[in-house]
Amino acid sequence: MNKVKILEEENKYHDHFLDVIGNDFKFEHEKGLAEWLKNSTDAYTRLGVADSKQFIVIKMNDNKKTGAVIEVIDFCGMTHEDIEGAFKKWGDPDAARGGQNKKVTGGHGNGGKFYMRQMFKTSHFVTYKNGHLNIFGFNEKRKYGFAEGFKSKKITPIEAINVANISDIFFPDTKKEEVLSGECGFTVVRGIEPEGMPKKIKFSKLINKLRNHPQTRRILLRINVWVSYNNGDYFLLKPDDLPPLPGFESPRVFEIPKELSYVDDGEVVIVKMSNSTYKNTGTLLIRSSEEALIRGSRFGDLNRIDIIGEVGVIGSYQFLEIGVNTFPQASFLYGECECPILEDKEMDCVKNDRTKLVENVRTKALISWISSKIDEVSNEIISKQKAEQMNEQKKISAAFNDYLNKWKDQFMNKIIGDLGRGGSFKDAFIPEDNTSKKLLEAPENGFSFSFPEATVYVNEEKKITLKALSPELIPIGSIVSIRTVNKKLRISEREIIIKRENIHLTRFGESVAVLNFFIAGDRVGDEDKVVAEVGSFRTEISARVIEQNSEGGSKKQKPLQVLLSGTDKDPLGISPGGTLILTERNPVVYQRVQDVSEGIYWINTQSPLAKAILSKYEDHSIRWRDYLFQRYVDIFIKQILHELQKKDPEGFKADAVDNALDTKIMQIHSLAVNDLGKFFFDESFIPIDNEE
Amino acid sequence: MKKNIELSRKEKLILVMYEMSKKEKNLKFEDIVVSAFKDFPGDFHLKGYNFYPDSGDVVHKPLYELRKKGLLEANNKIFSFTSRGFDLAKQMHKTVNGISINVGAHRLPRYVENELERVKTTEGFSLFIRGKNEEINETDFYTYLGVTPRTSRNDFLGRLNTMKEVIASIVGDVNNKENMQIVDYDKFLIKEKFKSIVDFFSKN
Repeated sequence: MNKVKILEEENKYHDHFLDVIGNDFKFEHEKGLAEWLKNSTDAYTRLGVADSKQFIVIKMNDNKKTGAVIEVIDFCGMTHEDIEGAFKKWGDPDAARGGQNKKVTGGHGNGGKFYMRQMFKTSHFVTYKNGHLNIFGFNEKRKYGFAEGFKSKKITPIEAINVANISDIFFPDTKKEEVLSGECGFTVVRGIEPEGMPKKIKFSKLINKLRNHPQTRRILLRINVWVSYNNGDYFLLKPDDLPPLPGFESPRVFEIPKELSYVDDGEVVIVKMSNSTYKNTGTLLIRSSEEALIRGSRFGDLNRIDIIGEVGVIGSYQFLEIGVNTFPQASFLYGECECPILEDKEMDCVKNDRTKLVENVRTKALISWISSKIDEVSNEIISKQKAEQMNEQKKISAAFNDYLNKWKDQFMNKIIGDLGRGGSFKDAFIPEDNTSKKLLEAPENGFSFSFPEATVYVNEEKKITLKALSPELIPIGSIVSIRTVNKKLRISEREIIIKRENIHLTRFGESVAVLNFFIAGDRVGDEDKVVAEVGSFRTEISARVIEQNSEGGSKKQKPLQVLLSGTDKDPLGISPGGTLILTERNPVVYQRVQDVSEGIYWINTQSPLAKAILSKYEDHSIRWRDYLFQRYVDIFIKQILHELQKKDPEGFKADAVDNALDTKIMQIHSLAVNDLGKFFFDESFIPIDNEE
Repeated sequence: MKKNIELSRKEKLILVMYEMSKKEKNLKFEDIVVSAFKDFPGDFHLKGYNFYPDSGDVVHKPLYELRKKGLLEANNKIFSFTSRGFDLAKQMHKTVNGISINVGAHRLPRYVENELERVKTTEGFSLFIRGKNEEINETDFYTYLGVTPRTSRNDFLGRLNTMKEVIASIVGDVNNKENMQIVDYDKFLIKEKFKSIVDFFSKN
């Protein structure tokens, strides 16, 4: 007899079964209050009351003698039938709908009831509707039932208000009139001697948690919930407004992909996130907060993702519990995810208490995807922070560089100017005098220009020197005529008379007349010959008009300016983006052709060693300062080399150069030790107004 | 029987300097003037004074022209041959002295070979043959020419001319793949990517 027909009977439960389930709720009061609030908003929704007209009051009073009381009041009310048909049932998934087909926040109809049963010494609600009052609740033994004498008791609204003891509460005149006229009812849910705070309510902590609780935050944004503590003033309870992180003002919105992959027991599972009923996969919205939502802080609980169902939150996850890896940046984020398919009853993803989703492959895949997106946004924050940090660091580098620039300006010209004089360390500080000027030499053939060629900066006068052996070959008083061959250059004098004051002696005692005049040109590229004649003597010089100096020193050298690539503004304005960007393949000290005549050097901050120092140490580090200083030495060496060759090309040989560099580098180091002590050795040193 | 060779003043100066360079690489202008007068008094005497050397434009101008051609380097009236200039001087010396010059059908002048070897070892050329043209920077350009941004205009143009000669001497050697790559590299640097720098030096 293997096949038998079972006659169905109603289930029977021991009340302990409710304790077993109730314990699973692990109620915290903010979570329980959220359940009561949801019940109230669902009641309004069932009545078709618009959000703006929904009105809920939370009252909390504590008293050492009578104990603490928490109340939530709405202006809907329940009938005896509502209580019998819906409230009394445990685990009815349609309880919140109240037999209607409206979208409500409530789930399985257990949350509010279990909160009343599990978290208070006693609890009850007083509800009035259609002229009848009911009081229903739980006693000390957690047994529920109607209060004696208050089962569908017909009384007037004013009597009901008095029985409910809410005559002194704050409610708008219109709402009061509606109650008094019987147009609407009310419900007062009341918990006496709450668990954990039977005599004294931790009001501030509780209310702050409630305002940002996943289950209430969205409700509070749209519904007016007024709160009073110990009969004090009422205030409107709204979620905390979180100013966004600068640069992340707009929420990041991600569309949930149609398929998500998830590795389950080493096997890659592809999960569809839409079907024929739920075609829209939904979106993830990640917001930022200027204040870090660190655990234990005021807004620590907000560092989470709320999973939003059709009406309310169906699950909520702190970032720490879903594998987010990018802290502390992730603690500046929070958000919500709408994923309609989760509410497909066949998918069975929504839990009874709506705190977490049911764990299955779909929810795991979704949570994993959300976690990866949070990391993605966190990485954006990291990138931005790094960029900001780099900017700050660059400012520090620029300050040090500026400091070194000012320092080198004090002596650089003297050090370079003394080259070839065999000067000692002290000589470096002797101002330049006439001894450093070029020695006068007798003119070739008795009458000639100082040089056979000259370049002239466009629209700028150039001094030209003509020399004549006078009076030996050419008498004083002779008139030298000057002309151009092609008339492309202007000359300042057409005739110069040799006068006594023009006569100078060479070191060999030759008497030479030095005659200066100026030439100028208006157009770059023009070339001409300037011819000078006196008696039978004739000499000429070729001249060319140029844009700027490329001959390395024929124009007065501008003071050297050392800049940092990627940091300092390009003073010539020719770099795209405003600053010169160099790569690790450029020299550590760099000049463009245009920089030469302007005396500009760039320290390449992208050179391999520069990058390594900056990545391991900060711009403020002594290592970095030392690196900058060494680059200045490089620049000194370059300047010295060019100057040595210019001043003494014949003597420009390895030994002589070696010797000159030894002397000059020693001078520079000695000056650095004297002047830059803090720069080199004081980690905390910051250049202020470039004064040490 | 020796042929009669007509040499220009410039060529005579090259020969004079070649002889002088055997003792000292860097030659003073004044020494060149004196040597030129001693070797070729008819060309380098002072006008109207046959027994005195002319230290004016007769010597000056050819020297500065040779510099622009990349045959000489000059600094404060100190002159020296470039590698190319020295090769040319040596060749000219042999020709003048009746020694036949047989460099062989495929043999390149020494300075050309030196320049080619130098270019082949540069990082820029290595990038070029690997197709990483975007990574080639100004420094590679200067290294190719053997100059710096501070090089004077005439020396820059001299080096540009030298490399032009180098390229001209290998451009027909189509079977030498590496040399053809250098020809392409030269075109890429001089005529394309860094043309603006060439223009800058040419104009100024």
